[in-house]
Amino acid sequence: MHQEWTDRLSDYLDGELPEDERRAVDQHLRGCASCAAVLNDLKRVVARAASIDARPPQADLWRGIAARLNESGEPAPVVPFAPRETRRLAFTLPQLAAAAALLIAVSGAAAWQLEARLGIPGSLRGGRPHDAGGNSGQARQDGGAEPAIRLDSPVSLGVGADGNGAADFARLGNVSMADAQYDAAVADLEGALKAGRGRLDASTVAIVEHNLQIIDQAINQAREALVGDPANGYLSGHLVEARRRKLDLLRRATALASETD
Amino acid sequence: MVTTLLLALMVITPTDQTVPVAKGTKLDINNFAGDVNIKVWGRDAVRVEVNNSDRETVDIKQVEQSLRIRSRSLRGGPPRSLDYTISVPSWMAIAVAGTYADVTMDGVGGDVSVETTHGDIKVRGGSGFVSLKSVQGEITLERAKGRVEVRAINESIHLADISGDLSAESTNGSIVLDRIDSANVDLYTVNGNISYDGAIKEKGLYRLTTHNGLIAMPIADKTNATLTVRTYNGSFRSTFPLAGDDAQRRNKRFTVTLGNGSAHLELESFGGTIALRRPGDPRPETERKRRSDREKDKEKEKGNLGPAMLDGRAHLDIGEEVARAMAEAQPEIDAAIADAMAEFEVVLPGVMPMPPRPSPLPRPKAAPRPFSR
Repeated sequence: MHQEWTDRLSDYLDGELPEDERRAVDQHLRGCASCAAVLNDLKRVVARAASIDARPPQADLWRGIAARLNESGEPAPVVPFAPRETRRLAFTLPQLAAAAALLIAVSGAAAWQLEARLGIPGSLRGGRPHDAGGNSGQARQDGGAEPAIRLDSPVSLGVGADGNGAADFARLGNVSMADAQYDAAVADLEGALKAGRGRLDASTVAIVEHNLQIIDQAINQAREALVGDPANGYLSGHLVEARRRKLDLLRRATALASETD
Repeated sequence: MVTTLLLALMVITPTDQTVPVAKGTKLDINNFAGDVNIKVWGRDAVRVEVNNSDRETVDIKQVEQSLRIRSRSLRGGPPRSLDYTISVPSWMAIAVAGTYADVTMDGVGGDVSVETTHGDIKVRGGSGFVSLKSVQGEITLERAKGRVEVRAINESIHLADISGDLSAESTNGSIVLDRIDSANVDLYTVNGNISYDGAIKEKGLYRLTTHNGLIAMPIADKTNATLTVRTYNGSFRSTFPLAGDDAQRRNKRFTVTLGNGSAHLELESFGGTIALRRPGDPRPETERKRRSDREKDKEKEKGNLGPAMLDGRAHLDIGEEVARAMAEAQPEIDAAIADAMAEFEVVLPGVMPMPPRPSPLPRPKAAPRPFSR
């Protein structure tokens, strides 16, 4: 193999070589079997790389997240990933091939991670299991669990036409912590986040999901404590604070999804 | 072969540009991935050094009162990972945004705003309004004054030598403070400890809240404060005698007036311990973390981040465990990427590389750096 020629093959394949160099490479390829073989290899990579964008992920990560957050026993529906915008091929072909390999590596690891983390013990995971989903708008002095993210839940305020939900979460600046308003706000933000989740990378999704779970555990523990001590002002305040943090995190995650475009 | 081709195709053409700036100009930089290191020099000018290649360009433009720095790929799409080193005058206000960006500043003297999704933030300096936000990354701020707002989500926060109004919040991480000089402090975490160090000022307001963690607060002998302690499943302890109603204290909710009660001090932990101590007393909660950090560093040097790291440290909070797991996974991810690259090197006809061996927690920063030098 001839390094001085193989170094030019990618540009040759891209049609980016000057005319005189292209002719020189043509001539060399006619007489050099090994470089011709490299060129064929590169063409195969091109063909493979070209198919990668359209390839659906092997695992819908959000489905696992939804199932875990829901914990209602109902299987979360399969939600297809939002179609991605078609972008112009931005990299050279070997770069694209390498990027594809990297994406496969990272997404495979992330998919495995989400499953593996189901078993991670933690002080907050010892709480009682979530009840079946929350009843939006209904006071929950009965100790009902914090509504988990349900990706199939209706979006009562609707997600903006552009699907990023930015306009919607911006409207939710002053949400009362009363259950009805709070649940509606959470549902809206979850809807917006759902719409934008395809724009977040797997690790960000995992982090958001993990932290939402932590907050939900805190909310549920506070609510459970309130059932036994309903006059406790501290517990009421603590519950309100925790719920506000959930809203803040959802807002921030939704904003990230809308910014990452 | 692919790697060779990649390297051969990218010609490093670093940017090194110095731009004079008028007083009041703000630095506004957005770096999708890579390090942003900002340091101070004695000139009214900004020097921008970037390791870009001929595949991307770095635009440095004066836009109204801002010096705006953006990079873009000449072939479209996001630019590859770029490392910036920027020298600025000390008075300059700075805003940094990034997705996979580690941000470091040293000696800055104006407003500071940093927001990154994956990346550590380390700032020394800042005055006026200092705002630091990261989703996945530790935040460290030292020697800042003015109004300080820090928001982490999945990592801890460390603040030292801060003066002025202070608000810090994390969901899954501890908040550790050293030598704070503030009359208005609001600290909140869901899962983590809060360890405060600083004087209680007259008429000050201090609110420290955690759901699951320890709160440690120093109170000097002649403090004037109204102290409110609230917990549900946690406990209370003090290294010094505290006047008040023992029955209330057993009930885990009580208010005590110290001196003339001028300042208001609210300490709340749903499930953790609230601990009072005298200034200068040992801070075991921070010692534990420092020891843990030191041992982690040693393990990193040895290249061993195995399960032994957890021995004897049952008090590690979830945030630390997550960070450890992520660090532990990094070599596997690197190996998986190397495997995938090797597959391409031989270019098996008609066969795509198999998905890599799964690893427990992929480290986010690895994703955007496939084309780094």
